[in-house]
Amino acid sequence: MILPCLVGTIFLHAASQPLSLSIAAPEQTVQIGSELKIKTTLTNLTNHVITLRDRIRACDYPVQVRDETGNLAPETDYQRHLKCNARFTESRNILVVLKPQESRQDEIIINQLFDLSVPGTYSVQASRTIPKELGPEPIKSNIITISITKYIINLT
Amino acid sequence: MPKILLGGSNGTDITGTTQSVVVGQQIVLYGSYTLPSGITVTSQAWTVPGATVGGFNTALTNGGSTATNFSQQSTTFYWVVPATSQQVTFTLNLSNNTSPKVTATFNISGPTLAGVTTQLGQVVITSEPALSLGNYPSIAGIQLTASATPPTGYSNSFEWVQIITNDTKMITLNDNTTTTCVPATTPAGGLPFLDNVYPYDTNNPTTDIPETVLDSTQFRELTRNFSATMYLLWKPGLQNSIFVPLGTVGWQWSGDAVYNAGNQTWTLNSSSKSANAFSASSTYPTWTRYSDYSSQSCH
Repeated sequence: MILPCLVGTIFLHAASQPLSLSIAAPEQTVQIGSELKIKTTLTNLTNHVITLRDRIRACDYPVQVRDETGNLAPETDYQRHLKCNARFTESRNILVVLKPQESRQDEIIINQLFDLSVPGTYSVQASRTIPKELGPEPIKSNIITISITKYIINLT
Repeated sequence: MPKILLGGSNGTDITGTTQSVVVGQQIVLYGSYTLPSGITVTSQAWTVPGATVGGFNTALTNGGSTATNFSQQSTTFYWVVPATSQQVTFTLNLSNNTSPKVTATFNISGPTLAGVTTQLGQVVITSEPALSLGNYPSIAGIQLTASATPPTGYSNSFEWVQIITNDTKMITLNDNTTTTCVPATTPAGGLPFLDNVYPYDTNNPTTDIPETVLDSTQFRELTRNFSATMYLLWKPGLQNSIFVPLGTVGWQWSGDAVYNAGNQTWTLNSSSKSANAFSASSTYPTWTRYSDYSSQSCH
């Protein structure tokens, strides 16, 4: 009697994630001042088409960057002044149509959002805001680690 | 005689040879030489033919190509237009009034047959209601589809950058006064400005559905005039490479929405929309400010 309930719970949890989000850094070590990008991959896990809008990238994909001690990295003016709860009805408005299992990639320039002028190792996690009808919570990505260095030594 | 090293001071000697490179590839050249005793360098210079840039700055308030520096022993630059048999010369001007020079030749490949096709939606009043080009979630206001033949050994990697060249709303308020509004930019300054962020999109095709919410509690007529230039850029998948421009598409639309208090509905009084043909160009987009459209400036 217990087993069906357990299976049902697991199934419900899986079904509640209509999308998955993964992130990756093309370069895991970058020099201070260089552009630090992460690539996002949003995948439709359902068996139906999902339609979304891509508007303000930093609002669609909120990013958390933490230093080695777990403190949040300082925000840039751009990030600090963003009004993600405003009605962005006139901004960039890209129609995103994801078929079942289809993925869409985007890229986020982390330096636009955070001041990474201090060398060190940073952990980065993104999430994707979704319409309420798709779920109550943003979809969270994996966490990646990126190193900011003063100098890049090329051994090749 | 000096030598030309490709890749920096520890690079490969390419003096007198022909090299194959691609647009957007980082080219680091180093003029290597040993001076006879008592001789000094008075100046040194690179002569680099073709269209080149020193880089592509993508900061939100300072976007565009950067200048090259061809008057140092080492130079870093990027070709942005394909060309063959481009002879690069490194010249040393010495204190004994001699000017030894050496050359290397470059063949620069790049994407060919680049183009963008556009598909426009209709200007409509949506159910929200909003004045919109296109109708989310079913119809894009504009869809831009890029195509190009990549050089052998490379695949296409596109990105889009959109510069807003006009976005003006004329609003008749419910007290019969009129006001003109434009999106607020950072820093202030108005048109033209970067649409939101760099890049606009990295997917192909890309779309836009510009729309304005119609609020009958505030105003009874709204006219929006919008025009933008979408830049298509291409990048080889090489380390330290940059995007190079392939061309632009200018597009524009307008709409005049009027509120009918009798039946409490908005109607479209007039509208227009068009997209220009793709214009091939190696000119980088430039911008000094951006707008996230979170506020507007009205007067």
